[in-house]
Order: sequence, then structure tokens, then C-alpha cells
Amino acid sequence: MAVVTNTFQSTQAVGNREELSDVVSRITPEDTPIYSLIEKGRCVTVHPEWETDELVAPGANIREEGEEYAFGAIAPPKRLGNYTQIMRKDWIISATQEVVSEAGNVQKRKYQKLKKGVEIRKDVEFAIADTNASAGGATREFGSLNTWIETNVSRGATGANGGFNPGTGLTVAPVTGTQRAFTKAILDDVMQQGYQNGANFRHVSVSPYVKSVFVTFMSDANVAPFRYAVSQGGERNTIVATADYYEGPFGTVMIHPNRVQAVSTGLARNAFFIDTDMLSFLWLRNIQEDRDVAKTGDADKGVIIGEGTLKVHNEKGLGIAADLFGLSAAS
Amino acid sequence: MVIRDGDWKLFDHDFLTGRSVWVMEDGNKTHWRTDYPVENLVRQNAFSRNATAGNGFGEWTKVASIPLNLAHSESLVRAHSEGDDRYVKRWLNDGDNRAWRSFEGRL
Repeated sequence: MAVVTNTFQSTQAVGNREELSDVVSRITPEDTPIYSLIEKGRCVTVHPEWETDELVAPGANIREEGEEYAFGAIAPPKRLGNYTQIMRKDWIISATQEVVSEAGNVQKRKYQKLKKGVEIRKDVEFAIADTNASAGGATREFGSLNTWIETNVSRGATGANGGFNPGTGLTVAPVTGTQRAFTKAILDDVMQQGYQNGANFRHVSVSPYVKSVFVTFMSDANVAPFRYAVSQGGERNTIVATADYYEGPFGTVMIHPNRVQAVSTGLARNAFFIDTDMLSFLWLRNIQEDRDVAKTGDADKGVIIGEGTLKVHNEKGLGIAADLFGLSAAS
Repeated sequence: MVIRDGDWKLFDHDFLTGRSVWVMEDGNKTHWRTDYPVENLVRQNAFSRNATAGNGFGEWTKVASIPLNLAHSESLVRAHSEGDDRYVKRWLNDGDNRAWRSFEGRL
């Protein structure tokens, strides 16, 4: 529809306030690949629950003429749930520092608010990618992606799946296995399992090192033979800062380097295969500034706080290649 | 220490990738700018295009390396998530985006 001439639109206004979480989402989608990829929703309790149901695997179905009916049992759908987690960033700046002329205003409130906003989003990504099982109670925690996935999995020797425990209503942390190098065989294994279980992997989130290993798959004997030029002396290896688009045997996938996963070996050892329809992040309280922090003393306090949880619609739509060397060829 | 580029102030810099995020306040609004060094990437893509010229699609063919900010701002990431392969492929087949292609061949 046309807009009547001279309608003053919000896009023309200069004084509109930008909301913190919007600003932060816009400037850094690539800092938090998984969180940026998935849908964001709302929840109204600290323990949102959902159900998954599935078809029985196909089998031979041959009946005799005139046979009496027998009735099979119905398997009830699985009831799953995750707890919300409260995340917070805070700061305090003396009133004098807030007003003194300072180069760049780095220590001022507005700047701190932006910085902490970016940091808290990375913490959300961290919580999605780490290996923490869910926990109820007052210090709740949502089960990370890693703790949910148990179907499309490739783990190192002695590694074991975690998964959702319907008895306790909590997820269980997986057991880490022996680390191994990421190979095309591991990749194909997880992709194939996913395909057979109905997943449609569109994105793969890996540590920057694993992404660089990905590129070498093109040099595989079965693939077009290929050699990479080593980047010239002192130049940056910009290849890690890209989304790579691959044509593979199970469709096209986009590989994202996840710098949050490069924080530690614990996070870097996993490669996540994501069907974005199967995952969402529910906010009970969106990331926001608490404007009612009581002022005491000669200082200005700030708090950014949010509470939310990860909803894994169906873990069969997701995959993981765990126990990889994620930071270097041997770690 | 504050690093400035005119009115722009450095907000974040990643040494591994060379990505830098700049911020500027003009009183009413906060403006953001992200710089990516892409010279190396363009050259690397050109190198792979040449090295694989004439090859057919094999298993796991890297078709393109797109700077992350571009992949997001051109809605490629979103289109790919939503299964809009036609959009992504049209974008990748477009001669204007050839610099990001690392494998010749129409998708």
C-alpha cells in the first residue's frame, strides 16, 4: 500500500530511542552464530515444556485373510522441558568519572551499557554451546545444546551421550571421549545420520580451527584435487572470517566460525549441525537494563539482565560431532 | 586508549580476522560501522576458482566464502535457514558476486 505524502515515519525521525537488545543484535550477528540463527520467542514460566511425538519405524505389514484384529499399544509422546537461566552484567562508575572530560568516553555509562550488551549476548551463545546440564531451583540453568543431542552423534572413543531424562525432567551432560581430528568421515557420518532421522542440516557451527580443517576436505582424494596457497608473510588468514557455502552429498550447508566456541577446549571440541526449525531461544525477560537500581553513594550503577531458555523442539533435527581437536591439531 | 578514525571510535577489534567495529555518536543516534579486510579473501577465492577450474562438483565442494557481515546483511544466512535456495543460488550465480565464489560452475 502507498503511504500518504508527508507521513512522518519513524525511519526519518532522528530522536527515536533505539532499544538495547535491537542495537546489539544488529551490530554483531556474526559474534553469536547459533543464537543469531535461531528463532527467538517468549515463555511465561521458568520451566517451559513441550512434547515430541514420532512415527514408528516402517516395517513389513502383511496380514492373513479373516484374521482377528489385535491392537498395538500407543506410545505416549515425550514430554520435554528446559529451565530458564538468569544472565546479568553490571557495572558501577563514580559520579566524578561520569562527568570528567575523558578521551573517548570509554568509561561512561552509555558506552558501558553497549559493551555489556554485546558481552551478555556472547554469554547466551556460551551457554548454548557449553556442556552444562539443566538445573532447576533458584539458581536455574538451561541445558545446553550439547546435553540434548543423542541421535545424530559422532563421539570419540569412551564418549557417551547425555540427553533428556524424563524421570528427573533434566538433561544429562554427555561424557567426553578421546579427542580426534575432524575428518570428512566424521562429517559424512553425522550428515547421513541426520538425513536418515529426518533432519535438514542447513548450518554448521564450529570453532575457527575446525572451520579451517573443513577447507582441507576439498583436498580429499575423492574430491577435486586441490592445494591451498599459504597466506603471504604476515597477512591475515581472512578465510576464517567467512561463511562458507558447501555443496555436499546431503544438500548445501553453510559453515560458520564461532568465536565463542574458541574460548576453551571444552567448547571448541564440538561441531554443531543445526536445522534452525528445530531450535529456538525463549525469553522470559528479554535482555534489558534495570532502570530501578537504587542509587547509593557517589556513584552510578548499571545492570543489564535477562532470563531465557533454549528450546530444543526435537533433538533428532540436530547433530553433533563431538570430541574434535578444536583449537589446534592436538588440543 | 581510544583509537579514532575521524569521528568514529574503535569499539571492537578481532586480531585473528582483522574485523573491526566502529561507533560514532552524533548526539541523537549511535552509528555503527564494521570493517572487514577482504583483500586476502578475494585473492584466495580467485586462487581457488582458478585452481579448480574445469572440475566437476565433487563431494563437499566449497562453492563460496562470503564475509560474515555480508552474508548476514544480504540475508543469505536467513534465506539459507528458511530453505530459500533459489534466492541464495541466484545471488551466488550473479556475476557481481563473483569475488566471493571459490568454485566456478552454475549452482
